[in-house]
Amino acid sequence: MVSGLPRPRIEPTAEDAVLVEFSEHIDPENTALISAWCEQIRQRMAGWLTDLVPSYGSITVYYNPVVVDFYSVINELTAISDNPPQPSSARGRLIELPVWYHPQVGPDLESVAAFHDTTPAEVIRIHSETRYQVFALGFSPGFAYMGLVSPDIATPRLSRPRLRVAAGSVGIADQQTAVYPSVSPGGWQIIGRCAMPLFDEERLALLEAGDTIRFRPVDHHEFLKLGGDDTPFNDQVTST
Amino acid sequence: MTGLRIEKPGPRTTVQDMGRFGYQHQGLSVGGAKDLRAWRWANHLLDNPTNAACLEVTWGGFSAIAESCLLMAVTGAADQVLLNDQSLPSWSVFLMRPGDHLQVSASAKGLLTYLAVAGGWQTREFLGSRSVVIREQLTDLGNVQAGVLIPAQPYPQDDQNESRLLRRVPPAHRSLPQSEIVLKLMPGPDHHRFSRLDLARLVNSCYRVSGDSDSMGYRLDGPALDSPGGVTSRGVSCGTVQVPGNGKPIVLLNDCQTIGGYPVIGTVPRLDCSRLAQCSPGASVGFRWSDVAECQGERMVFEEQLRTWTWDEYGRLIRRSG
Repeated sequence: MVSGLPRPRIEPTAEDAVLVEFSEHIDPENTALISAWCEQIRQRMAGWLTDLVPSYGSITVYYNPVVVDFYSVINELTAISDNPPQPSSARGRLIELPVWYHPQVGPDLESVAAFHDTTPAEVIRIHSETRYQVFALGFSPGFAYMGLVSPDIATPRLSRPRLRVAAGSVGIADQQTAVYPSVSPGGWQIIGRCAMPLFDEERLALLEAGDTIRFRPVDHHEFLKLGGDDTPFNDQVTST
Repeated sequence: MTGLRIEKPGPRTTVQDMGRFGYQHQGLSVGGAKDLRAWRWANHLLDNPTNAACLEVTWGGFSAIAESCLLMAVTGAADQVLLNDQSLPSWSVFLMRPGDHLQVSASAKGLLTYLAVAGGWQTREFLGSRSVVIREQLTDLGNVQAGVLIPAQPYPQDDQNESRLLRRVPPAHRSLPQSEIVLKLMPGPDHHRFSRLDLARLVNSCYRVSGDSDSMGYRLDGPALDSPGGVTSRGVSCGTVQVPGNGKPIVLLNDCQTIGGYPVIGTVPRLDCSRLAQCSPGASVGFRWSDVAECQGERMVFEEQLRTWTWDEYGRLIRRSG
C-alpha cells in the first residue's frame, strides 16, 4: 500500500449488504478514515445506496439489489480501496453537551466513584475533561456510542439492567459513554443528565459518527435554564 | 374521513410498508413488512404502488368495520378471514361496504395476515415510510389501537365492473404453510471464527422457534454452538444470524437494532426470513449453506415476476405484454 492506510476486507454479508471492515477492534484512529470513506461511498454509489452504517471499525453498505448486483458493488468498493480517500481530522464537528452530574439524576455517580475508590467530583472531572469520538449510532434513534472513557472511571455495566432509564441519562459502560435519547431499558452506569435533546422527529439525531464530543458540567440552575428536565431518576430494577 | 374502524386489534397489528431506509446510521430500524412475499402480493392484487402500506395482523384476534367503501386484498395466513361471517378466499380481492364487518382469527398455517387497500393505508408517513417499529415510540407510529380509524382513499360505491374482484394469487406463488422449514444461510463475517464442527452442526440440526421471539429477532432452541465471544459492533439487519454466549442462534428480523456485537455466523436471505416470520413458537427450523449469488438470484427472480406479471380482465395472472 502506497498510502499506508489499512486495506479493508470487503465482503458480501446479505443479499443487499456488503461489509467494509478496517479493524475488528475499537480504534479511535479509524473514525476519520471511516468518515472519509462514507463520503466517497455516498458520492459514487448514490443511485444504489439504501443505507450506510458506519460503526467502530467498519462500514456496512446497504444497496438495492433490484438495481445493482453484488459484483458491481464489490467492484466499486474495491476501486475506492485501490485509491483510498485520505482521512481528514478537520471533517468531524466538535459538539459540547451540557450535563448536570448529580445523584438526583445520576443514580450511579456515587457507586462509580466507590468502584474506583475516588470521589464523585473526580469522576465528573475525568468524564468531562476527556474528548470523545462518536463511533456509531444504534440501539435506539439518536443513541451515540462514544469513547474512549479513561480507565480511571471505566466501569462495567450493571449486572441487572434497568427496565427504564430516563431520557437524557448520561451513562458509562466500560470504556464507552453515551446519552440515552429516550426512555428505554438499559444497563449502563448513569452519572448525570444531558440538557440537550439527542433526537427529535424534526431535526433527527443530534450526533453522527465521526463527531467529537465534550461534556460540559453545569449546575442545577444552568441545567434548568438550558431546558433540562430534573425529574429524579426513577429507579426501577428488573427482577432478573 | 374514509377508512376502516378498528374494533379489536388483536395481540399486535401494525401498519407496514417496505420499511424506513436511509436512516439506519441515526439508529433508526428499517422495520417493514415481515413477510415480504405476502405483503408484495397484497399490493400487486390491487395494482397498488410498490411501497403501499398494508395492515400486518399478527396472530389474529382482529376485527374492524368499514366506514366507507373499501377495495381490499388479503394475503399471508388468510384461511381464517371472515367478511360479515362469510369466509373469504385466500390471497384474493374483496369489497367492503359501509358497516361491513371484517374478522381475522388466528390461523394454524401462519402468524401474519396482510390487509391491503386500494391506494394503500394513509397513516402517518415519517422519513418516507409508514412502517411502525413499536419500541421506537415515534409519534402516531405505534400498535394499531381499538377504536381508531385507519384512513384510506374513498372507493366509488357502485362500480359493478370492478375486475380486480376476480383476482386470486395462484397457489404456486403463495408462501405455503410448511411445518418444517429449511432456511438458506450465506456465510457471515465471523463464519471463520467458528469451528468446522459447529459449522456442520448448524446445518445438520433441527432447531425450534423459542417462545421469547419477537419482531426484533427469532431465538432458536437446539444444539448450542461454541460462540467465539463478543466482536466489535458492526451493522446488522434482517436475516443476520447471531450466536450469543449461550450458543443458541438468533435470527434477526425487521425491527432489529442497526448494529450488534454478537458473532455473526451467517445471514438468511429476505424471502426465507418471510417464511420464518410466519412460524409460531415451537416450529421446526433447519439451515443449509448457500451463498450470496443464490440468495440474490432468488430475490431477483421474485422481483422480476412481480414486475412482469399482471392480471387480465378475468382476474388471471398473465405476463405483461411488451
